[in-house]
Amino acid sequence: MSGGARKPLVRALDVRKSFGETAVLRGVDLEVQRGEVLCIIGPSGSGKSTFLRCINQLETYQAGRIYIGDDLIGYRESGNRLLPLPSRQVVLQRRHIGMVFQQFNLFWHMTVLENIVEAPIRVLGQPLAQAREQAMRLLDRVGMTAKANAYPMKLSGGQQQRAAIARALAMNPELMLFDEPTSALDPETTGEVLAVISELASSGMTMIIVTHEMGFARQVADRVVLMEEGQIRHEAAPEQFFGDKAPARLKAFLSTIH
Amino acid sequence: MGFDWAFFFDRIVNPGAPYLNALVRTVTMAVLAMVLGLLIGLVVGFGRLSRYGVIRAACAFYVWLIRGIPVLVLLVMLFSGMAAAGLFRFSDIELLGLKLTASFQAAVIGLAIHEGAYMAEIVRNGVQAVALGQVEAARSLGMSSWQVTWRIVIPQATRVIVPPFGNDFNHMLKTTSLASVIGVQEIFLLTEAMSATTFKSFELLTVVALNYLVLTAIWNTIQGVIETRLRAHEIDRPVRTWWQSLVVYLSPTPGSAERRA
Repeated sequence: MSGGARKPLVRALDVRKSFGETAVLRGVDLEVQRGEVLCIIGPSGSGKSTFLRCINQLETYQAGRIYIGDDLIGYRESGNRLLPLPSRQVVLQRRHIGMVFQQFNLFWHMTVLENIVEAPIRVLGQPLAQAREQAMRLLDRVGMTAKANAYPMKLSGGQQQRAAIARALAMNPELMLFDEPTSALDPETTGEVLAVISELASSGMTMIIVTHEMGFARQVADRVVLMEEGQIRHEAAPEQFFGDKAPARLKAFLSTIH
Repeated sequence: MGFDWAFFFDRIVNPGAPYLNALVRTVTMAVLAMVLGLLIGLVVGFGRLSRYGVIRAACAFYVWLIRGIPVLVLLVMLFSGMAAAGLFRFSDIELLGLKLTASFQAAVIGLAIHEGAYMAEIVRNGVQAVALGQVEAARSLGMSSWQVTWRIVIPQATRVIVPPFGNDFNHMLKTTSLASVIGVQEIFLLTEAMSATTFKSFELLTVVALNYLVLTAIWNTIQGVIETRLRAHEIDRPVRTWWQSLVVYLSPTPGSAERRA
């Protein structure tokens, strides 16, 4: 936690990435302050998820810089060149960046509780008793105490996603990434997951949320950005973003959603 | 003459020490070959998913080569062929006070090489069946490649691997009879030797066929218990003890009690 109070937690500078011939990220510039909740919206294929995945190095970016605090993610700088970090160090950088996936991705062979204590025990070396105690607190927070010993197969999508959020929180992340957390859910269970994310947002957690839920973005975000064709096209506080004075292009996109 | 029932039953009730030894040898050979084959299969199967092209190609070549050669030919090549060419000659050794004959070693190694090629494909399928999303989730939690492999991939791949592994072992119990060709004193070779002196080959072959049947039946039961235990993640309760699993396995519709509850 070094640096001045106003220093952003996340700084992305001209981040670029291609899959073969296709340029997916064409220079993304973005800053996220500590405690800020940022929602990224945009059409599918615009690079939102890829950008999110670059932040914790599930994808590598090919040019530009992403900093979390003072750490350059995935690379070290040598003069003007970027040299990839050895995987050992990438693993260390990921520890405190939580991620929640569209498909929940709970470990299928473990109970909810085992899912949550796995990384704190294996990665952080926490004693079992401490990890369990923390897991039960987190399960209480996401309203899943009753399902602690259930296997994921027996849970609804909403329950699985709430467990997955608890699993990510168990690593005490300083940043949480949400990759379309409700896109795979029924309308009935979407609300319970959004409620958990809202509660987290109001607790001061720094979060980047890729979502198609405009009403949710409007309510929970401190700032909303529109991503299109691999670039940030518009950026504003939610009142302006969804307000009458928004640019025509943004209104056009929003009208395709509603 | 007809089928000599008295002789047949006598062979079953009083098999004699040499035959029982041969039975132990058959089972030992199958188990050792399967364990070694599994190790080869793990190495080659993961090798086929390596990020290095050379390793992938080498492992694919192994699978292609071995699956194209009959086990019988492989066994004779290892035992007699290599010795004839002066390349390598198996010799009897003592291990932990047990005498391992040259032909027994060649048989175990040959069967393992053969099994390894098939296990490699089974292992590869199992690993690929683990959803990529879970691997990504594990990585996003800061787990290292080793931790992801050992804690997430292998436990889940095991569930996919066990049924075909079991089928292969069932097969292996019977394939050991081919080792008779290189002189391993297993139950089929002994049966043939007895046939030559008693001329009751049909009775003796029926006995040996029944022996193989019993061996595979016992294994199938064990396999069922293992598979039931591995399905624990589908039911909301702790893993059962082995005898509870056995009861469920032997009941007409396994696991139906849980599903109704």
